[in-house]
Amino acid sequence: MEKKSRIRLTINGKELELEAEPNRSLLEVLRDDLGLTGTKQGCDREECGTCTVLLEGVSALSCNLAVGMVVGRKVETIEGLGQGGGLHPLQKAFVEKGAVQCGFCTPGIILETEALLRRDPAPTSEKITERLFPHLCRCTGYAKILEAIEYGARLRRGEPAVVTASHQGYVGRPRSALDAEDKVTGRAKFAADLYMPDMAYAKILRSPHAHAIIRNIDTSEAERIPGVRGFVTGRNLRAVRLGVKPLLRPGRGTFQPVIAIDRVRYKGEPVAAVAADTREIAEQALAAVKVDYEVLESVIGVEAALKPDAPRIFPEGNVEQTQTITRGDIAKGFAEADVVVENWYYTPFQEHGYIEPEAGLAYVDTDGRLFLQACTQFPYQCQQSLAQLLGLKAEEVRVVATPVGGGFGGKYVEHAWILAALLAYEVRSPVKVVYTREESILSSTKRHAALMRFKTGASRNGRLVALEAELFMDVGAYFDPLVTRYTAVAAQGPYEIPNVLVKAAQVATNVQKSGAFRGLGGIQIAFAQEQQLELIAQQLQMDPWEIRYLNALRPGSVTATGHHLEEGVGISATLKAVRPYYEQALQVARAENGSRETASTWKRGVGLACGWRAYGGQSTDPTEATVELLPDGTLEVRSGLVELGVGSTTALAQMAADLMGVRLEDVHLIGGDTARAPFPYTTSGEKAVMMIGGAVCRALEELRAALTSVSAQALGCRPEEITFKGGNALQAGRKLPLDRLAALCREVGVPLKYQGAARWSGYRPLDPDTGQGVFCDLYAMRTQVAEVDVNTTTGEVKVLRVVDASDTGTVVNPILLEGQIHGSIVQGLGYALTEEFVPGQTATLREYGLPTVLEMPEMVVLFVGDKVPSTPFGAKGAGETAIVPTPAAIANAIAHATRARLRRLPAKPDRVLAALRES
Amino acid sequence: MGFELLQPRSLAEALEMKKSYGEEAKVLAGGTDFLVLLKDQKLKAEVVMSLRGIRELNFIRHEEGKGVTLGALATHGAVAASAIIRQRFPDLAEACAQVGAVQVQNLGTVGGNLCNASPAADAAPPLLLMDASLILASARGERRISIHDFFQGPRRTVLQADEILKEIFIPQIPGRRGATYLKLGRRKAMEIAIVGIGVAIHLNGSDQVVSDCRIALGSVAPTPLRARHGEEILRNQEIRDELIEEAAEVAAEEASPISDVRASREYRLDMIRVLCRRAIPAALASARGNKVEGLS
Repeated sequence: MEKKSRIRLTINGKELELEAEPNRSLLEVLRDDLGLTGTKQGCDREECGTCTVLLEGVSALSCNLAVGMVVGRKVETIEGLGQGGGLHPLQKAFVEKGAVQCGFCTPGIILETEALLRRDPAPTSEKITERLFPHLCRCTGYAKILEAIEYGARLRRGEPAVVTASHQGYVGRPRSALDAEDKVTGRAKFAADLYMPDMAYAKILRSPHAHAIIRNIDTSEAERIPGVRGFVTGRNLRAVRLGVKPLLRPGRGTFQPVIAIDRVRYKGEPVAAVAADTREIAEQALAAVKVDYEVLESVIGVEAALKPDAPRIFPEGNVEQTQTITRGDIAKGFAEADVVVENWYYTPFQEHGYIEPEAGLAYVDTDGRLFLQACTQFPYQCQQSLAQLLGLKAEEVRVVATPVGGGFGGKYVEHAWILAALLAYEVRSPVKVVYTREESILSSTKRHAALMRFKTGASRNGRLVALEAELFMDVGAYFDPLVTRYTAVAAQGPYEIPNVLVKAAQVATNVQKSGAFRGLGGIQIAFAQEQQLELIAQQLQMDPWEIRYLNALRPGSVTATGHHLEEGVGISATLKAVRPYYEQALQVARAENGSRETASTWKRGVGLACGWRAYGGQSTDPTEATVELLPDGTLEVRSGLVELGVGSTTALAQMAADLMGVRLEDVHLIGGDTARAPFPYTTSGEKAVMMIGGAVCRALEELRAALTSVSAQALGCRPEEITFKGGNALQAGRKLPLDRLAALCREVGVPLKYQGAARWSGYRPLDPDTGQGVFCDLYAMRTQVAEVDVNTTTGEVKVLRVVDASDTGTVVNPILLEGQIHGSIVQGLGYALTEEFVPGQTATLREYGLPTVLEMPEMVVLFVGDKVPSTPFGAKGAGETAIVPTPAAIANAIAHATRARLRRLPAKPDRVLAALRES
Repeated sequence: MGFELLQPRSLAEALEMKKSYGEEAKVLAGGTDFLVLLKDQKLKAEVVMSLRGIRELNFIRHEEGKGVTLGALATHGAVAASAIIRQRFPDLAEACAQVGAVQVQNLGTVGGNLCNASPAADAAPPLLLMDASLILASARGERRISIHDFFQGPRRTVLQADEILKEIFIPQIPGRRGATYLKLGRRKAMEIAIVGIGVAIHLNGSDQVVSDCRIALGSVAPTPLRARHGEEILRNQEIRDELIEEAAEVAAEEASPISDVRASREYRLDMIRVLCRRAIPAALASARGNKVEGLS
């Protein structure tokens, strides 16, 4: 039995005495016992910094500090900052400078900074960086955090705040994220911060084998442990819900059971889930489950899976050719080519690395409805899956997305909360699940590893004439062909190539499923294709910039899928935008390498890369949203949008506020709730502004039309004379406030609620054999320049600067978009240099290697491109694809510095050294 | 699952407790690392003794002509910031400033770092260079052992069941000493060192002839170690590039690194050579810059 002690300590100035086992972590006690959930749990092993608190004024990691060790000492948490008098200067600075995205790492970073500033109110930027580096942030790329810290330090010293002039209108203006204040104060409730009376904890038993048949699962002994409330296994699920396909992710491939039924196909696959009174009892229960496995031979890695004698994961084989694209005559193309370059490239699995581990809380409400709150990007699909699994009607399941502590494509329909919900339905009490970091790394989806053969031909003048590409995408243990379409479409790069043959296949291996991740399919392609271009340019002695500009897609170009491009083709504009930076960087590099002694071990290099990718959500299904003018004259907008921390909800509110002429704070957004906003939508693929924004704009047009006619009547004028501003309908100096207008509308029976829809109108599904069709109406496009230093004796690579120019059209919110681009670039940098998930080996964040602030380069963000006629306000999404060209630009820069060509990511020091020796 | 917490107020009280609990009581100084070790089942604890309340163990003391003593509660942060350490043992200050995260430096102690006996303990290589000794105390009395005899393997030391590491003593070193600690990690300081190298050069009179050279390696063998054959090549020699090269080669031969997710064995061996080539001239330059005889 637990040995409890009376523990006295001071928290945020209050002396407390509590009963707790002295070995529990301070973090757990703060969160579970004291309700101070502003302190977050990210890894539980001193690796992420998110649980930072102040102990006697200095920063300490509460995850690994036994509460017994802090007896009698003073602890401060985020809840203790800025008490009474509004926001603390640092909190204010973080909000204003756009330093908060998902907000999960924010409280820890603010406390760390506060500890520093108490000792040193005006620290140097080196000092700040040194203090910040143990704190992992996956969203911001650290740049805006550093800016906020410097600004916050000034505010804290009593220097005046910078007041920006107020402007008319919101679109195009930098605005703080609407939810930032809740996040800097620790008030925002993430899924793991939810508690309920009588709540049980769910834990999942996972397969220790990569491939095995389950002969038997025996939970009988475990069920007898006091405090165990119930189990879900593939057996009772199937027996109880006969006829229901226990699917987790739909696709034309193989359905993955939500829990293994008779076979496990990867190490970490869920085999049983338990709900128990405490986490400890749940763990004990799992330890008492007996699973009888018959271990099978497994196959890990694309190369292994492609071998003819490889063990089969599915009877039909491990490889399925799923998308071919042909255009022109490939044989003729290569015959005409003066230069042909052919190479293999490999990119590994990438872990999303969001700092918030998967979490959810589910219960059956008094109406018998199953209610799940979870950090999902896709509550609507969770609702559908649960309804199907339990044989319920969709409206009998309600799913609400909590703030997502970083998603990046990794938080769709995850085992974590689906199993918690199934358990809650089974045991009829609230069930909470929170993954440990190790579980999250072991079982969450990853970016598809890819093995790619590229054969590229060009004529003497540098024109690309032929491309043949073979793409093998490692989808993990269950087939899902979606990625093969994205990669196949992206394969040509943002260039005109008349003769193309692309073959994309999905390859099953015994690892966790691959899934969506920023820049899906595009990043792997850019790594290969952009190096191919570089090699061709080298052979032709052409300038790397020239060859790209010469071949860049333009309005009127036709892609390999036969898509005639008309609008939003800004790749040349982005190339032009980076050109001065590129040339200047080349000059600097020449000067640096010249002035350094020949014996210097550091070499400077500059690399260029373009990137493109189709936006997400291919289908002609409409994205819907409603708007309603409320009686008080404010506006309510309901949509499927979930806030992932990238600021899409803020951008949406800015658009709505401008269209309706109301203040930003008078726009109420409701989203990501299957009951209150029943508009299925997956928040992904940087399409929020275009799709949700489009639907909202359509709905607002209708609302405006109705309000215009009612107010024209009331004011006795023509409808054309009416405008909306400042919360009023205006006509020649006369005004009618919107609340009165709403009342008028009700009197005359004019509805105040309207629905709008947006769709990819040009979408035509690709023919699987020829690839002809229109994958997406628009493509995101951009160019980057990377400057690196490479150490020729250790193989270390430092990325000094990345310049990014994106084809954005109108930028709705520059500060938030810039922050998202920074984050994407640093994720790309991580993929280029340090990040690699090695199945069966990588277990912790430390082993995985997320970039820290020390790896952050200087970043220059340029917005270019013309307004897009067909999108709301002429805007294009541009945040997530900033990841696409980064690894390619870095690889090209390494080659420029040293002649070492990296064909395999990440460019870890030992690989760089090996490549150097080969070159 | 739970454990009993002992909070002695004096060393004498702590030693009595340790005598009665023996192996059963785990000793915590800073208390970082501990829950992770429990979770990873690298450690089991029924009874935990926190040294935190023992003020007499929290000190850094310098005695002219003798040396510097670190109390068991001296944190990495305190050692890295200590003027005397920075001046006389810059390699130790550099190593302590590179231990884990700043939060860990704030709480974690040098003594705890040694007692954990991780092959990657940052403080170990500099202390090996200094021929530091450790004072181990028990109710039976005290004994002093050389740091060279302290580590027995990963997570294994010579500490007896009733013993506590009380102090670390760094003896004054005659002559002019220059030293450096270099660490190569994939992600700078967050990373447990892929390779850590300390080099100390001693000059006696002449600026040219090295009276002593010491090389210590971390993360490349089951325990931190001195590369004594490599040292031998430079001792009493005038340093030339060929000798540095040879010493680097020989030092690498003394290591036995493993391959893991962070780096391959071959890469680690390569890096021992690279870091030796960097550290030896740096230590030499620093020794030459030290104009005061017998400073450290």
